[in-house]
Amino acid sequence: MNALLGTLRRHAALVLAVLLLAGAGVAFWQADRARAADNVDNRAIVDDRATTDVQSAVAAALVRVLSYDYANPEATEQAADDLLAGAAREQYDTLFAALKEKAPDQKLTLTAQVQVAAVKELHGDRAELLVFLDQASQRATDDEASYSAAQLEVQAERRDGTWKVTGIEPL
Amino acid sequence: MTPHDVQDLADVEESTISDDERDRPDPVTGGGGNRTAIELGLAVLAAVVLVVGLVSWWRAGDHDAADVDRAQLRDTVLITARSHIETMNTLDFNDIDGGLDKWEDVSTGTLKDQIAATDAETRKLMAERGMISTGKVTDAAVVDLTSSTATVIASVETTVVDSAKPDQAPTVKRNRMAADLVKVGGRWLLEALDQVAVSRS
Repeated sequence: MNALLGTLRRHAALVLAVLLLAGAGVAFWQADRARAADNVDNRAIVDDRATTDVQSAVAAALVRVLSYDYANPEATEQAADDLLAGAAREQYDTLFAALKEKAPDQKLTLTAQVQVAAVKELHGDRAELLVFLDQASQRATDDEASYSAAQLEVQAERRDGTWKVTGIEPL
Repeated sequence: MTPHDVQDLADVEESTISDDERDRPDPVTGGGGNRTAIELGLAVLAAVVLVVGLVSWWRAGDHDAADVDRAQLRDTVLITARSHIETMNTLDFNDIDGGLDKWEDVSTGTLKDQIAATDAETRKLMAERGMISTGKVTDAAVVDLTSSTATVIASVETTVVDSAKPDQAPTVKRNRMAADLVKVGGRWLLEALDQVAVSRS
């Protein structure tokens, strides 16, 4: 025991070096952890590129999904398959069934146009947007289209690299 | 090596190396000194590594400070915009002047000038309509943001009570609005506030 203490005391500098290195190891490890930590929860606007990506993807998806031509309902159906998921998908199926039934008689076309889409929340692969959308509907019997101005709260999720709309709620 | 020499060596050891060294099994001249120097060097090196590590840790703490600031700015602007938009959609016929003062207070530029230019006759007409409007932002989001300008869109619900018809249920209007804000003297103020109309193209 005494011999060990003696050795330690003789090599005090070496012991100190080992302790300092251990401390340095801890410091580097903590630095790594701190750098990996995300101190920004909501990356909307903060991450410009990701914000623009989800903005344009959702706007494009809504235009395709909310436009409808009685002569070509398959296009809308295909869009729904590609761009909707979750609750939005189920909601859409109900709506679409009703539309498909009455549209041919009325020769109905719907044309959607996004006025502005803004990202409220962006957390990795999930986003929430506020969208102002116009929808023009025209029947064969109408001289002019009638327009509706919608305010939508839209939920989106990125699956396999593609943003899909999972919720559309009119305000 | 004569016994005398050995004695001499022991003397040297005695004089240069401390008591701790006495139980060393094989005292070699000079070796202890060199080794101590190397060990000290290692300790200094280790201290430098520790300092580098600590600095790196300290710096890592705010590695995304710029992003945190921008997120904070976004939230501040959104809260301010919501409040200002509500103010601009709120007016009580009992206190038109007070209401317009509030509008002026949250606006800047031509918008502020327009409000300020509301003449007595118009104010009188507004009072005579007997309406109480209350604006509420149901949802809003930032579209664009720089350090001194911002564009915010908002879904606004305006409740209008007609004082002439107290029994009648208030009318509720839902408007889509877009607001431009600028930072003037530390305050975010409305530069423009418009309805987002349906585009008939």
